[in-house]
Amino acid sequence: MSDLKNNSEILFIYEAKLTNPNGDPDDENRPRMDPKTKRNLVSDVRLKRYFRDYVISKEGEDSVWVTKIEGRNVDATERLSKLGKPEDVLKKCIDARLFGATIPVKGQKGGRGESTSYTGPVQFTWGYSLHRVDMVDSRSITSLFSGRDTGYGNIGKDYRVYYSMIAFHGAVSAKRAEVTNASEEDLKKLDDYLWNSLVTETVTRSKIGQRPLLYLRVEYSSPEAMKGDLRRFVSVKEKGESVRDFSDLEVDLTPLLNLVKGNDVVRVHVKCSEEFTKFCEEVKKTGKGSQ
Amino acid sequence: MKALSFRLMGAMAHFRKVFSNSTSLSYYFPPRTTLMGVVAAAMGKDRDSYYEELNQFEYSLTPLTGLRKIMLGETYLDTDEVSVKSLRRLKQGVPTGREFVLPSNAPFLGYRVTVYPFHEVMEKSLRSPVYPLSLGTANMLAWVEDVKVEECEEIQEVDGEVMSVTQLKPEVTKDMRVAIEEMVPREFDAERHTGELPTYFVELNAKPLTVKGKGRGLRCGGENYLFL
Repeated sequence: MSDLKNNSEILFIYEAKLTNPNGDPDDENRPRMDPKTKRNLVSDVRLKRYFRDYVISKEGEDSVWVTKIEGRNVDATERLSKLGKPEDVLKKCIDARLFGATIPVKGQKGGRGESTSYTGPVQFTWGYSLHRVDMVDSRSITSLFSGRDTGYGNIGKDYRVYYSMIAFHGAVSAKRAEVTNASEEDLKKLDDYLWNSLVTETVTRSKIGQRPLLYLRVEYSSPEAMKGDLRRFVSVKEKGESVRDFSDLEVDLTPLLNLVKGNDVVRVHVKCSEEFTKFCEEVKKTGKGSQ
Repeated sequence: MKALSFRLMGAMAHFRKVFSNSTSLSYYFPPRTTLMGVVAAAMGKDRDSYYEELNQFEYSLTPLTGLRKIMLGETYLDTDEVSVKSLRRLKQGVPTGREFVLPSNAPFLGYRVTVYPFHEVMEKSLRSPVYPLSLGTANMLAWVEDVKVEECEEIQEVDGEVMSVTQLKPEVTKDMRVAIEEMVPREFDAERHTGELPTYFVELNAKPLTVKGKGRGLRCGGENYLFL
């Protein structure tokens, strides 16, 4: 039985500086962009991957359903097959309990297998930058490694954004948690791990330069309350023509604070970088906050 | 006669075309079957449990914001083979394209949905949905606002402006951007098979369309809405 009683909504803002927040595999791995609004886009899958990688580093591979394990031996495959029962996967894997999963069920007597799908209580939208983003103009790089023995390295492409303040909206459904058995403890881990993962899991060459700025999960008073996309409670203005740093933006969180103060919100889970310390202090004053 | 009307809002949408193969294309607007799904989610009904019940209602769909599509690459799980290996991403995924609908003149996408006849439980559910709502797939989170009861009269034909998406061929003038969406599902049978797949016209700047012909719909507050 899940002990989740209330619905929540999540707003997660992080920054990406001189990095590639989420490459498009269909477009030479360029950062995903909306060409009309010049907003930088990041898929929900990318965000969940940070979380999953962090869980693996803390708790091991068995705690995560969707994961790549390369070069494993036969024993590992056997172990995976054991994990493959839908109920066991939900019991063991936090990502399956939170985000849902598609789990195979073995076919009868050599028949075709089937799969069981669970829609997770936690759903994230695609993230996008709250301002226009410029791509770094210079993008050719050379590599020491070459496919041929020419004495020269290969020349490749490396696309990055100058600066992007990315915001994600997420919803947590208490009703859906009943099916996957996601617990309060799982959600607490989501609060902590998402934040931490943006620090520790963004250390590869293409992902370095990212930092969490604000994490807010508002818990609503009734099990059927939801406000909808929390990004509309944040207003961001560009101070000049180009955005290269946090200081080039003016961020107003007053509508968000008013939402937190409202009667619908019973509890708030919040984390702030030093840029948003004031917001965290204001939330603390409401007496609803836990950090 | 009373009808139920609400605004369905969200940042992005994906309404998968039924004839898409590996590349997931999207319609510009939620088909009637998607709207039934939205209402069913609000009412807390399970998947596949509501087709007959909610098919008894008529739905009309009006874009409130400009609409545009973009295509982005994604890597899907390979589900050709149902195995731990493929579903756990232990083998290579399938890179493919997915089309999204975005607003073109507003920060968020918006559609007005009108459901007829009015249903009280449905109204209450839309004010506080049981499951989170979405614009198509589960990660395209949506919210509902401005739920209201409207006084309308039924119409059987129209000669003039309609606010909604329509099956009637509109008059197109220079300043309009009209898209044709073909093969859009209307209903599901118990096995989730779609029946006839009609073609619709939609104005991409959220302007009314001028049409003439037979078509069932509603006239509410002096404006015409045709059923999907």
